[in-house]
Amino acid sequence: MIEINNIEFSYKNTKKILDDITFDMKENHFIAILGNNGAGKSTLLKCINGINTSEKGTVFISGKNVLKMHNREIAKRIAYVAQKNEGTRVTVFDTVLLGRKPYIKWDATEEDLKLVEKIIEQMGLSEYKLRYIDEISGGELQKVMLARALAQQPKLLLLDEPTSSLDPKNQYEVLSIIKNIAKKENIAVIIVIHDLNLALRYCDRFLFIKNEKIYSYGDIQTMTANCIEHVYEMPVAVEDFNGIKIVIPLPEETLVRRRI
Amino acid sequence: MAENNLTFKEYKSFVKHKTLVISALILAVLVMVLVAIVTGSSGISSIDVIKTLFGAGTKQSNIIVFDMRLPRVLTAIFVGAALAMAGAVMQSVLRNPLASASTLGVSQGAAFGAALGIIVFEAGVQNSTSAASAVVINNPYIVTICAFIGGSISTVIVLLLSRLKSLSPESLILAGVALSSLFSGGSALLQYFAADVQVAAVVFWTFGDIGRTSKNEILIVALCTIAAFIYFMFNRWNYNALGSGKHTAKSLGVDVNQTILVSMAVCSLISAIGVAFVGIISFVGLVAPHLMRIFVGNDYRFLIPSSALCGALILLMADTFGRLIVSPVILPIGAITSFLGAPMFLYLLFKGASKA
Repeated sequence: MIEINNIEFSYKNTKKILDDITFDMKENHFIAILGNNGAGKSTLLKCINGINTSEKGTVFISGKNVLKMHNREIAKRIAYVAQKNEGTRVTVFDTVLLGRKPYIKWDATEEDLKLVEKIIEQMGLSEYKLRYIDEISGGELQKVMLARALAQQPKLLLLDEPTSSLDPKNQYEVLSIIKNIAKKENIAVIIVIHDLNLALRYCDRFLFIKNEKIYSYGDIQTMTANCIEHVYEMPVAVEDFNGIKIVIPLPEETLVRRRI
Repeated sequence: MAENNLTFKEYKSFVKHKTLVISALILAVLVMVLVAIVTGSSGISSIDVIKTLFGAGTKQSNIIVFDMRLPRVLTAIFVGAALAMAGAVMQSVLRNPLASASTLGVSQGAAFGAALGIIVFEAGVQNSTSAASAVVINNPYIVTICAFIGGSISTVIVLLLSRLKSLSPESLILAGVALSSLFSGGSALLQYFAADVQVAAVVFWTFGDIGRTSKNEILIVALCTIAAFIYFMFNRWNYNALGSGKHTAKSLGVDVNQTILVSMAVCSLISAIGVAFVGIISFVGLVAPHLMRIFVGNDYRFLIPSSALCGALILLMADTFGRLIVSPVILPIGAITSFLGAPMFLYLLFKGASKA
């Protein structure tokens, strides 16, 4: 069980961005964090692994408060993929090997190299492994970053809009890979995502943030037109298409008409 | 499984290629050391030099080799390595490909500090009998400490600027230019109020000359450079992680603030020591790491040792060149490295400075 309690955050001298964010999840849950731009979704991710300091907040993984641990110990439990990633002159293999950083004492061991090899294969990156990451496409780079996070062998994986720079095919591919590996390795995933249909397809829990607080949290039943309209302030229809739930944005006047 | 082993080997041979680069550099440095010791204006033959090295020299050849040429060579190796490593590490922790001791104003700060030590605290005296040793530092510790304080002031300002305002790489370098002018102005004022002989001493000293270091000073430079190398190598994974950004580095278990602060302190210490004993030598910290990135990429496991070796090689070559070109006059090494480094700096600026 992963318990996230009482996360609150504000930048210096500004109003609160997050207030009393408390929720829990199982080891195999795949949670989507949803909400408007600036709602504090990315900030929440960074509070969960201690990049941002939330004074009262606690994050319990297997009964231990991770936020009280040293960075290196946190990194063994929680991996994070930032929204924007830049390629530098380092190979794919070496970038993924960085995921072993929390475990490496002086140098990478044979086991580290083997694990990196395995993950590179799982992510379908084998043919790129000795290419420099400033020479590969955005989609490949995103996969490399995910591979690096998986090399940390985390219990919880935090992803900040991992698909925002990808084309539709790559979006589905990347999320499928994450979902499969997370299921197999028993990794909990929290993902900040804007595409509601992608969220519906891959996530099993949905957490809406509005006005600094949790607006609602729950399984697929939470994804109602009503909830989405309140959070995003736009009219939508939630329909069933051959057993798959889909969200369809509606023209603005629909909302006006309904209000009348 | 068979395929698995194959890919494994590919990576290992890839890494081997990088260690080969380092081995080649070690060889090049050794060859250059020999060339530097053998060449000179004294007319002593190569065979005599080698004999002297093995302990079979005359009194005169002993003086030429052990008191004049070897100290130069050792100074070039350690100062070159220190400046190049400092450049590579500064470029990593500031995430700024244009960073180096001379472009951030750290060298000029250190030079001001050292000049202050020499003039105000009288840690150096002018020796007018020999042009090659126009300034003799009689208290290397005071000069080092003053240079370190001067360099640190620049470092602290650079760190504050990069933290308080997220300046673009180019703006940070502009701030470095401003700091350099400030400290150069300070040095000029010091000279204005100093006695004529002291002015001559400081002017000569700021040229950048590696021929004036005493054995004691070489020992200080060597020990600090080696200690810094060990510290940097301990942090090589941290520098690699910082390449993916501060947040990612933190999520990989790096203590980001501590790494940046301590690394910058170590960088300014070794740069300041270099400046204190040999004057300002520009651009080595910029050229060496960028040259090495072509061969080993941005992987600090290999970039730190190869930059250090490359820096040593550049200074050795520049010094030997400076001694030979209008022999017996010795050109100041700082001028030669500037001729080499300035075009490189301009090239980086125009290229849009790819990520460090």
